[in-house]
Amino acid sequence: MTALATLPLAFSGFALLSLSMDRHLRQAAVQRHQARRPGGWALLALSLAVALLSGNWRFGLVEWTGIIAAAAALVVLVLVYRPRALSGAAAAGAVLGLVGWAYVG
Amino acid sequence: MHGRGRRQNGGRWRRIVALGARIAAASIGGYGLAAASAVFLARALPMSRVEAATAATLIAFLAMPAAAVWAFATSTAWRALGGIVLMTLLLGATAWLLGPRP
Amino acid sequence: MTRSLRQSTVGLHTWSGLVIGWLLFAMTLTGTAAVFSSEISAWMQPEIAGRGEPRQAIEKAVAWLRQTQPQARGWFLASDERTATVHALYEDRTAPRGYRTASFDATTDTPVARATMGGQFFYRFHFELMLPNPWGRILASAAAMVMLIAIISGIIIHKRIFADFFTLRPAGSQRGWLDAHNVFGVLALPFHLMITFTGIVPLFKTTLPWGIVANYGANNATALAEFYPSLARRAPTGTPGVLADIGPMLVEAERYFGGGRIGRVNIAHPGDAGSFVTIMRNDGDQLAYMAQAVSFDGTTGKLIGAHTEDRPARKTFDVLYGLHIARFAPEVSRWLYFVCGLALAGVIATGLNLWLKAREPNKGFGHWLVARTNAGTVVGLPIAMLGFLWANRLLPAADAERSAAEISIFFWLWAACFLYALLRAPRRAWGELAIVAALAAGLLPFVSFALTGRGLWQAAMKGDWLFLGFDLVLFALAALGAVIAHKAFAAGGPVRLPRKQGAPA
Repeated sequence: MTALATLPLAFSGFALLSLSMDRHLRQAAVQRHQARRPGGWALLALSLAVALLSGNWRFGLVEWTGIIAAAAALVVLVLVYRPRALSGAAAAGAVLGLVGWAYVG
Repeated sequence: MHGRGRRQNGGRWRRIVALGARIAAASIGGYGLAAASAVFLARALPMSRVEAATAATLIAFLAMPAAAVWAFATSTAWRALGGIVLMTLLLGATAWLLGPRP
Repeated sequence: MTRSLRQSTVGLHTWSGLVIGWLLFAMTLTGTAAVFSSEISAWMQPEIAGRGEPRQAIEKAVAWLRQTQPQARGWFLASDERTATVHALYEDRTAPRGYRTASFDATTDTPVARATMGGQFFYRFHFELMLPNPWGRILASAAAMVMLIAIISGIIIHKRIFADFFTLRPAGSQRGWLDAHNVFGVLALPFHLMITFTGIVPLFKTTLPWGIVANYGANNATALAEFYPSLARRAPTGTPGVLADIGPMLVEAERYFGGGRIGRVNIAHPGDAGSFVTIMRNDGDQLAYMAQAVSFDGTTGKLIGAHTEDRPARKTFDVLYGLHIARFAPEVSRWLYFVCGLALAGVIATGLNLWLKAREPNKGFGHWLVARTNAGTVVGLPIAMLGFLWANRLLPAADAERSAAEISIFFWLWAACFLYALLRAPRRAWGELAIVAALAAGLLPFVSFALTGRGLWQAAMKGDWLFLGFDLVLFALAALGAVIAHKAFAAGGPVRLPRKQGAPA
């Protein structure tokens, strides 16, 4: 179940990218930080790598394009309902993603 | 906007005709361009005839929305209509000259 | 881009979206349902347990066909990708369409499942609109081509596509609806572009055959033979013959497929000395559609042909086709297809609503008509689709012509909802129809259990994930209907998103 890794990683990546934008910074009540944008992209890239390396890379790639849509939608939902939880959720996502990656192998 | 003077009305009609030309270029013209591209590429691509026909079809399907977007992005409506018609005729003529594959 | 050109592109997006919006909503929603067409078919034929090995199901089907349909010109068996069921299509001149289907699993000797189109109805409606060939396909393809233009023009005019990527402001204003339209559209944009383009491509024989015509002229037979070598046929000899045992052919096919699964088994002229068996690989094994096939001489069982598609352009076409019908997709991908399909339906529904919002408060006849057509389509169609499922449970299982009746009920229900929406004020129509939809979805699991004995509790106990999942999805849809109804009645306008506490606008 590659999604156990790719979804939280992508969620975390998108969360960081959103927190690199002023509008969402203010919603989430956090300070600006330079590392967020490259960090976000790195997590998305990691998510893609995990997807491609898991068994059938073609199936993995197709699944990943859907996973990132779901991950981005989750970030939007957090911003609508619990914006202040976003930075914590981003951290949790990264941890869950790495654990998931270790589990999926 | 009605009866504000002939100049205003003439401008409005001109815009409607221009929009109509762009829509015609995008839809009918776009389809015609796709058809001509399919015929041209099916005959011109250096592959077996079934491979060329397949590749031609896929590329032609991409040409349609590209033509439609171009028809609206290009600077004047007449460029839109003229450009698409010209490309279609060029591709069609070349395809006709190439003749069917052996 | 200059201002007037931008206006033209906005106009292109708005009007192309409106003209095909309702049709596209119908195609998108039924297409999304068709993602689970196998599961829907299994639910609609509860007599089949769906157990055992597909290969045994195929052998049972062939055994039954030998006994009962020996003179048919062809038997066409399809082994489902995900449910252990085989559907056999055979010629039957007494049937309204000239053919019938019978469904088998490994334990079925005589097919007893009720006649129904099953999930295939949503699939067929999706690309043929149940109109005579080729008009339905032409209309559906044209709509899809306009959709591609609508998506691309939408991308072009979306000025703040990156800045607004995660933005979803509270509803109650036009911004809220526009945000929803953009979010549904942008977040799943790769899917929307892919599904639209890959939907247009497979119907090229009807809509853009000029590449084939350029190289083959009117010689359709040669074109077909070179395009699909797997479908090669040979004429019957006229002398009777006995079909050999199918089992060894299935084993041989699986060996050629390198351990892959059987997908389709086509048996041409089974009662003839020149009978011919073509076995195609399961579409669930790879992205490409119809990737491999083997053929056997019918009377001797000897292998006479094999084909693996590896020509680059042909394979690209097969992969594009496969991406659209998604038979390859395992669970996670399949649910993602479903969710993204719903998102696309959401793009269209919010877009149709935006057209209305942009014209308020100057409401003319156009506004009056569009507001009512929106309700009749966006809530009316789901009611019709649920009605199709209800009809499956309520119509007597033994009736031979019940399949056509299920389809009629779908259309009559939709027409009734449409009429209702025309006559009611839009806000009330939305709310009332949403309540009907919620009830239709929420009560169905209980009605189904009462009439078939296969319900949520049994499914959970036996690990029957299909029936369990089906009931849960119905409950989720009921909840969605209830939320929509609540918003429509409570807020004094159609659906809104809840306000965040103290959020900046």
